[in-house]
Parts: sequence; C-alpha cells; structure tokens
Amino acid sequence: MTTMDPTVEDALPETAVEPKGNHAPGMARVCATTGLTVDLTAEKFIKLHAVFAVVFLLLGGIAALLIAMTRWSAVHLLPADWYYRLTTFHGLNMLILWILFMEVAILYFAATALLKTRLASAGLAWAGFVLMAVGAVTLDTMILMGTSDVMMTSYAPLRAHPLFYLSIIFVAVGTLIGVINFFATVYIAKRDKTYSGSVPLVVFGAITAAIIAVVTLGHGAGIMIPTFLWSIEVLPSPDPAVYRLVWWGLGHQSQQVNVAAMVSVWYLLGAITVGAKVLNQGVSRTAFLLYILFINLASAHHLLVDPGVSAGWKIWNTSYAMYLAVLASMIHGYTVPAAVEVALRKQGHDKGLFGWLGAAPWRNPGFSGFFLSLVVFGFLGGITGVTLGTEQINIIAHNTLRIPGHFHTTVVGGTTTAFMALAYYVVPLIFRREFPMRAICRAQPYVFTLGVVILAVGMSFAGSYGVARRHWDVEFTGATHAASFDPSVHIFLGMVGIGGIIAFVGLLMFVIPTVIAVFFGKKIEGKMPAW
Amino acid sequence: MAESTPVTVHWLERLLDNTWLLLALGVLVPAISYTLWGLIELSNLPSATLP
Amino acid sequence: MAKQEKAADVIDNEGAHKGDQMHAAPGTFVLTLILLLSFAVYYFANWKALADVWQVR
Repeated sequence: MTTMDPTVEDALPETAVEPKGNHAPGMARVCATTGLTVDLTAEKFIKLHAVFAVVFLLLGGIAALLIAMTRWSAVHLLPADWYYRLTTFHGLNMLILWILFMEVAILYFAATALLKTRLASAGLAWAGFVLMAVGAVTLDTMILMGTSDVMMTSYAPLRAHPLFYLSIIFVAVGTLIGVINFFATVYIAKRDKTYSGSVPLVVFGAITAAIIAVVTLGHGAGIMIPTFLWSIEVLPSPDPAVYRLVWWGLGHQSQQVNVAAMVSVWYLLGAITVGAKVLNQGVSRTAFLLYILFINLASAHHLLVDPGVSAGWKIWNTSYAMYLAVLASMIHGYTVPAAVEVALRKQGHDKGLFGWLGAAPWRNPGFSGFFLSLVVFGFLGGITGVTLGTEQINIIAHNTLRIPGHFHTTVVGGTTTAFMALAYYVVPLIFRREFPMRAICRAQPYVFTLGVVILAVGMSFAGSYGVARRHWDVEFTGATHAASFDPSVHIFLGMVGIGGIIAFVGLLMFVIPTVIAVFFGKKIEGKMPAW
Repeated sequence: MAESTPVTVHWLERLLDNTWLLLALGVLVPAISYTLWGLIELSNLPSATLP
Repeated sequence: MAKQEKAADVIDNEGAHKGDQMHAAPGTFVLTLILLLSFAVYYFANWKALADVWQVR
C-alpha cells in the first residue's frame, strides 16, 4: 500500500490564496486540499441536497432489506400488500430521490467549483430544492399510507392517489429547476470568462448528465401530468401502450443521467485520489457526445415484448443506435483506469503489468469505491445489459429477476458506490468535517460491493430459471394453476437474502459515519486529513 | 513578413464546445427516434375487434 | 518519481495535453481484453440458452 493522498505538502492555508472567478467579495473560499474555488452559496445547496440524498438512501435501504427478506423464500417476511408497497417505496427512493438529490448536488459542484464561478441564482436553487423536498416527503408519505401500491412504474390503468402523481411532478419540476440553474451557471461562467478554452471534462460530463435530465424530465411531465389529471377524473385513462412508451422515457432515461454523472465522478475521483489526467480530451468528450445522442434510446428495451411498436422501431432503438452508446461506455471503461495506470506509473509504480494496481491506494474509500464501481459496472452491469438488451435474447429474460439482477450492478454496484466514494471527499471538503470510524469507512466499499454482487448474481441465476421480478410468492400458494421452479432457485433466492443483508450492513457502514461526520464531526480548518 | 494564419478549429471540437447545440441535439434525437416514431406507430394501430 | 498534483491543477491544465498524447497502459489493455472475453462467453451462452428453449424445426 502507498500513503497516497489528495494533499500536497506545500498546500497553503485557505486565507493565503485569493479565490479565482466572478464571486462577490467574501462569497468564495479556496479549498486547501484540492485548490478548487468553492462558491459559498453553491456550497450551502450542495450540503442541503447531499443530506436529503443520504436520508432517502437510508429509507430505500431499509425497504430493500425487507424486500430481500421476502424474496428469500425460506424467510418470506412481509405479507403481500407490504411487499408491493415497499417495492414501490424502494424503487422511488433509490432510483429517483437518492439519485436526483445527489445529482443536483453534483451539478452545482461541477459548475461552480470547476468553472470558478458563482451559482447563477440562489432563488432558483431554493425553489428547486423546496419543490423536490416537498414532493419527496409527500411521495413517501402517500406510499407508506397504503394509498399508492402501484409499483414505481405506476402503469395505467393501475391508479394511485392523486397526490402520488402530483408529488412526482413536484420532484421532477424541482429537479428541472436545478438543471436550469446549472445551465445558467455554465452560461455566466462563459460570459464572465472565468475559464478559458473548453470546459473541463468533468463539467462536460455534468453537461451531458444535465442534457439527458432535460429529456428525462420532459417525458416525466409528458406522462405524469395527464395521469394526474386522470386520477382526479379530468381526463380519461391514458392508453396503456402510450403510457409505457412515454413513462420509460422517464424511468430508464433517469438512469442514464446516473451513468453520465457516475462517469464524471470517476474522472473527478481519478484526479483527486491519484492525480489521474485525462488521456485524450477528444476521445473522452466524443464518448460523452455518443451518450448525449444515443443513450436515451435504451428505454426501448422495456418495450421489446410489447405488441404495439414494430420490429423496425425495436431493432433500431435497441441495437444499431444503442450500440453507439455502449461504445461510449467501453471508451470510458478504458480511459478511466488507463489514466489511473498512467498516473501511478509516473509516480514510480511501474513493476510488471499490474504493479500499479497493487500499489493503488486501496485503503482510501474514495479510490476503492470508485474503482470497484468501475469494475462492477463494466464487468457485471455492462455485459448483462448488452446481452439482455438484444431483442432475441430478451425474450428469455424479460420481466424475470435477471432484469433487477442487471440493474442492481449498474445503479447500485456502479452509481451508488461511486456516489458514496465521492461522499468520502464531499464531507471533508464541502462540509469541512472529519470522518469518524475511519477503519469502518475504509472497509465500507468492499462490504457494500460484496453484498450487491452476491444479491445481483443470486437474482440473475434465479431469473435464468424463470423466477419473475416483482413477485411476492415464488411458491404460487393458492394459485389456480400450480407452477413450480427447479429447486435450485431457492439457493439463488437465498443468495438474494444474504447479499441483501451484507449490502445493508455496507449501507449502514456508509450512512452512520457520514451522518456523525456531518453533524458532530471534528471541524477541518486547513487541509483534510489524508485517507 | 509572416502572415498570421487563422486557426481552424475542427468541427467536432466546435460542436463539443457548443453546449446549446448539444442540448438541442440531445433532446431532438431521442424525441424523434424513440418518442415520436413510437407514438406514430401506436397511433396507427387498428383497434382490436372484440370476439 | 513524479509527485501527485493537486486536483485543481490537474483539472485547470487539462487543455495542455489535448489530443495526441501518447500513453502506455498495458495493464488496462489486458483488463479490457478480459472484459471482452467475458462478454463474448456470456453473450454466446445466452444465444445457446435461447436456442435450447426455442427450437427451430
């Protein structure tokens, strides 16, 4: 192990360096550890969004544990109504609330700190945050009250309480306001010439995420507003096929926002943890361009067995065009670790093929979380995603547990782990609080990733034997027509339960030190302590 | 006398530096390829006759 | 041995090595080959599974 850390010996105390950029006097500071200029208004909103994000992560995680304990057929914990209620709750808290709050925090950080500019509007930031927070709390309340057991997808003609749809609209509009504030901040940075040439790559990745978010939220408004009007009996029921088409423009594309944000976080953590430099700006930016143009078409995977849309539409959207976005992920999957390898070799770790990998700072959870996220996303998420997205193969996997097996490796093993890794720097650098229980923090990415991998592999194998996703009782108790699976599925469902417990422990190992650090942590005055 | 030659920026680099054009393209491509095309196909489906 | 740079310096000076920088990352290259091989095995195993359950006569 090396003693690699993000600090340099000659870092100056914060007061000695004047902030760069277009900030009003006293409204910015220079981070002693990274040298980045931090806008104090943006800092406040980064903190607010990050705290709310972690709260929803914990709520979604508690639901996850209970769901895993129900899918584990030997335990079968929850009654049917609570299984579907908490699956609705889990999906929306994890895929929408945790991720969107964290992403707005990342957008505000990338635009202000990396472009050395002030946040465009504190008023807009407040408006967006309040809408998101009110929407999120209302949404969770409506689900837990049992008024909206419609799953995350809320497929019409399933009907939830009107406030369920209205609260999702609030979250979507609030996020859109955050995205508009981000674009306005990028605009004033260019206008005020706070940077020269092209924006840094991490900002370019954040712009990519924001563009995808606009498409996502447009689809969200496009389907949730008419569905809300139907729920209060102003409009007739939406056509189920149209609902599915437009809803997946929200449901899947919101996860593409994650991909772009996660890749940006990889580049950022590469720079912070080992000083990795982007190998080729043109190549990495072109890969992001492929995301902007083509990644949103992946929503079509969800409609591969729908009868309404043609084979031409399915094949174009899930194959030819989509593979260009897969190419982009493969480019990032090479350039990010290659940049880490080049940086570590330059620092003297150039023994053999993998000497650099052995010498990497594996005790730093910011690095280990980032690299594990990269490996799990690429090897498990990428490989299963491309395979399941193939039209012909999809027919043997559609709506089985293989699908959650896939996206738990992308969204949880990939995005969530990367965002957790980022938090190991956000808390000391933005909240300026020291992490307690550092041994637990160091172990956390490994425990969490191990749990997620066991869970996802269990899901994938159970799904390969035909076990359905979102299904309360694998035994089909009391069903008119008996159905049974190969007995081995119970072993794989046991893996789902055990993996779920380990991942939940990993989640607590993240949440507890983070909450203690944010509210009671030792104040950091100069450089952050090295991990 | 040395003539100053205008620096030509590659079209791809100009595109990558133009946030607003990227935003427009990023919205238009999926809107046409996924949403509009899909909606046209669904709206042209004949109604099923009841048995 | 080069010293690790501050994040702000790495990010601010990105433009300095735009374009044609040569680099050697043989370890990563081997990792990507392992990824491609894993993908090929998984992808074709799935086609085989499809062929097993969906017989064409």
